Amino acid sequence: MTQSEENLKLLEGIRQLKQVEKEMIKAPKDALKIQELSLEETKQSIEDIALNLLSLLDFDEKPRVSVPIRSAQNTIVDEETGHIFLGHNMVTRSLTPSSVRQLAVLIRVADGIHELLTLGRHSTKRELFYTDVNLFEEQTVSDRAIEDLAVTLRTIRNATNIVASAKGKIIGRISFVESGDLIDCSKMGTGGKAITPFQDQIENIDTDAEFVLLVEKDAAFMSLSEAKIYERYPCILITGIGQPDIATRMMLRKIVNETGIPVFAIMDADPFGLEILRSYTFGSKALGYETPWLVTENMYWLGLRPEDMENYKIPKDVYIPLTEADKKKGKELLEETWLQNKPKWSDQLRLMLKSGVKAEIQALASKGFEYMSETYLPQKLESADWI
Amino acid sequence: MTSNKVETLSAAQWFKENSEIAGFDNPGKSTFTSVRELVENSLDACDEDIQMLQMRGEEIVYPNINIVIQPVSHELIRKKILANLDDTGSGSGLDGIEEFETDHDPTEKNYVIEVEDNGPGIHHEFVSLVFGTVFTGTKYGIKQGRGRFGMGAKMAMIHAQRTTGLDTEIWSATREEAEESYFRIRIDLKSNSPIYTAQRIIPDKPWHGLRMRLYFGGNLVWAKQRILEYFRQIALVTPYVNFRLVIGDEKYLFRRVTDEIPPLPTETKSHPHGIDIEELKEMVKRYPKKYVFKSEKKEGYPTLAEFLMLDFQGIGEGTAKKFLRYKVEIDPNMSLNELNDVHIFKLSQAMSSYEDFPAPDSSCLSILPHESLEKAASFLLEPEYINSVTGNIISIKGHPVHITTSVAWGGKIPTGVALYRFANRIPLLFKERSDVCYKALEEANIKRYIDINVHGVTVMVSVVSTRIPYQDAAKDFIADYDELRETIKLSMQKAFRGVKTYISRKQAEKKKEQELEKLIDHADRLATSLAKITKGIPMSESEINQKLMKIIEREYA
Repeated sequence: MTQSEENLKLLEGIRQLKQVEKEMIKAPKDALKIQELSLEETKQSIEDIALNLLSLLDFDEKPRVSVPIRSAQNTIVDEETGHIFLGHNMVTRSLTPSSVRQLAVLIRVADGIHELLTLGRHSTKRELFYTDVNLFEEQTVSDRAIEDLAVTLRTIRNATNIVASAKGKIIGRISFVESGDLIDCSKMGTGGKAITPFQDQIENIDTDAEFVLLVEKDAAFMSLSEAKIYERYPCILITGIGQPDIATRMMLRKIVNETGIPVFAIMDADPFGLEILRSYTFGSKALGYETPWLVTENMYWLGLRPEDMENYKIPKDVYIPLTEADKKKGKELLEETWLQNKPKWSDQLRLMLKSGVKAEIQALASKGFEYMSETYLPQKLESADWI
Repeated sequence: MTSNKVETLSAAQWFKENSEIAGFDNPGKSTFTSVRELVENSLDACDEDIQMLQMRGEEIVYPNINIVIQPVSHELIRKKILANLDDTGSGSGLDGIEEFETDHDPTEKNYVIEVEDNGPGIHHEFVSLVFGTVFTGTKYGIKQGRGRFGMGAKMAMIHAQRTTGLDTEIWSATREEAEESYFRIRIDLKSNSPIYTAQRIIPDKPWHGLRMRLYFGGNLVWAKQRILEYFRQIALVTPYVNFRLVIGDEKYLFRRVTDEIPPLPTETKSHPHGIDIEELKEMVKRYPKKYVFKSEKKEGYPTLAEFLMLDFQGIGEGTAKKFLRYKVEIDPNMSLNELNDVHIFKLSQAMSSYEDFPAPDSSCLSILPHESLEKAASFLLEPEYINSVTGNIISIKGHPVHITTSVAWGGKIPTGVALYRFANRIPLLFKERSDVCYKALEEANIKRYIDINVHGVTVMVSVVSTRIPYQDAAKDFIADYDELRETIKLSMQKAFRGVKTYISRKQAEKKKEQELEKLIDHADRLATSLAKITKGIPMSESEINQKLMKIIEREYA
């Protein structure tokens, strides 16, 4: 068959992108040292923090905890690779009017996690929030405190046994054992398999896929899974539904690390799409301390790239003008190291800023509902149009 | 120019030509003015009574002023006219306002006003002196007073006469005698003299005070809110007076809220800056050939220096001689007798421009202590906080001008800013935007200090002087002198700052309280969690809690 011949030809090109298993990314020297702790170690660290507070009290001193700041102002970027890490800037939570609340929240979260670890159980962020709604008031407060605690313990969030509820989805040519059950992702209908937050329960990954198709949004995921794209090409389809959670990033990283296959990303052609691409590839600022556990390096930007709008003759009426916020975000991204290390990506961003318009993946539907799966994607893959 | 060629203006003509100035230019304003003139007349009488009682060392009688305003019908006016014709001295007449109440028709534009005080009353022999002619009163000294023309009540009488034709009725009794005098009086507008149409003495009616009743044409619909506002405001600056007000079928009581009587105004000599040539000539003319100066009998006229020392405030021998010799360049020992018009002109010019006279004496002013005003304002306006700035004295044309600013904030005061203006303890209700106080308020920029959209502010400015610098003869508003505006503005800003300090202190206290609460609350949770993580070793939850509380108390309580 000519088509399978073509497919073979195409797969040759993709196989060349395959990377042998790499070592874990090393944090730069001036970055905060983070390690994966065992359950017992995490429990012990929490007790150490509590005992330290009590010993301060014993000397009639204000109890206080130094918490690494998790924001852009404490971000360290690896100049060579562009990967994002946390620095050593700390904020003190103490018995003062301005920080006592945050101290109480942090210790209350530590208390909850300590209990969880003692029981050997997992819990979702939502459940933890409900352990003291009065104190937390909003879930974002306890969510933030969980990550603050993790980084205070110099470990990753997974070590706290707190997980987010499942957000990402996976479908295609892959099977694995999850909590003792064999999961075959090629038999998941059209909705796909939810990517479990309990990533430590995933084992025995088996796949004949040649690449991962990473899509930004659920809509594109649905459209491609309905078209059974993984039957036409040996691939795995993954989405984090917008800004990805830890589990999706870990799952992607796990697959790529074990197989060495490349990832082709399909994002919106806007600054926010590029930022999501950054999260998968270089890490995020708020979770900079987890970067070595989360990023996937063998990543290629397939679409929807600003240049596609011209190349694929996407009708102008689906273009959306860039907002002021888009323009600002775009200019900021151009300043960042990781993008400077990806000159082809930054060229696309410059093109977008110059044209003053953006477009969503769904804009492809303007050329027909099957345009993406039947025309756009095959053309892209066959012409090796990735950067 | 000889004086007999000058035609004397009759009272009627004067009134006609100056009704606007006098506040009788339309029916509404006339109604308002009639009320205020009678009330202020009574207040002046009561104040003088208090002054006299204080001098004698007797117990003070706190003023009670009762005001009744009722519409009356044409029919009643007609009956009254007929009754007056019959009653020429000993008849009974109509007595008591109550009788009118039954037959009034609301469309009528005629009213009866009766104002009664518990002042000293007027002995019947002196009534003609008091209510006699329109233009009376020769003042030698200067004194702070409420009266706008020294004839307020008389203007109201003339207005009543001109609109209903009815005479004014006066009942009066003094402390000294156990009898009541009754007069019916009208002013002969041509001869400018009183005509008594009835008068009698009613024995065995022991009270004291004065009751006046006028029938006049007016418009109460227009005037009513202004009359109420007048009483609301005057109650603030005369808090030692009870005002009982009846308008139609509504009754209002503005209760006395303080026992404290402000020092009442005293008469003082003129300041040289406040005298014009005519006044100077009058003063010079008064001296006879013989006079007594410092207990020495001297023959002949005083010298110029002696004249200044005798007739003006704050001038001693040194000042007088220095001023005359170097400023006027006249021999201080020149006899007053030798003064010609050229001398007087030179003297007058020099007096108004010489800057080394002492500032005008303000001790003669009656200044309501700001504590009394604050007390009255707390009672009447029910604010949360009042701050006053007082004691600013400037001089304008030889007259001391004293300024007190009180700012009431929050509580029941409606949001926004209200300005109350007082001139010699009388509220000014008209032409606010032209008043110096309004301009000062604009310049003071209250928004820099207080958020008036959250809590309301009432700014009360009391200006007291031996001569309030009104813009014009209508005396509705105070003129915009730069120095006065600046002084009022600064006193407002100082008062606003006081309010601001109060607000921020209150907020700071509230914040501190909230912070303490927050600390204690969270310390409690902290103790629970820490004890749980460490399983109560080395400290129990209550021990941890105690330690935390100790630190909070040490650092924040």
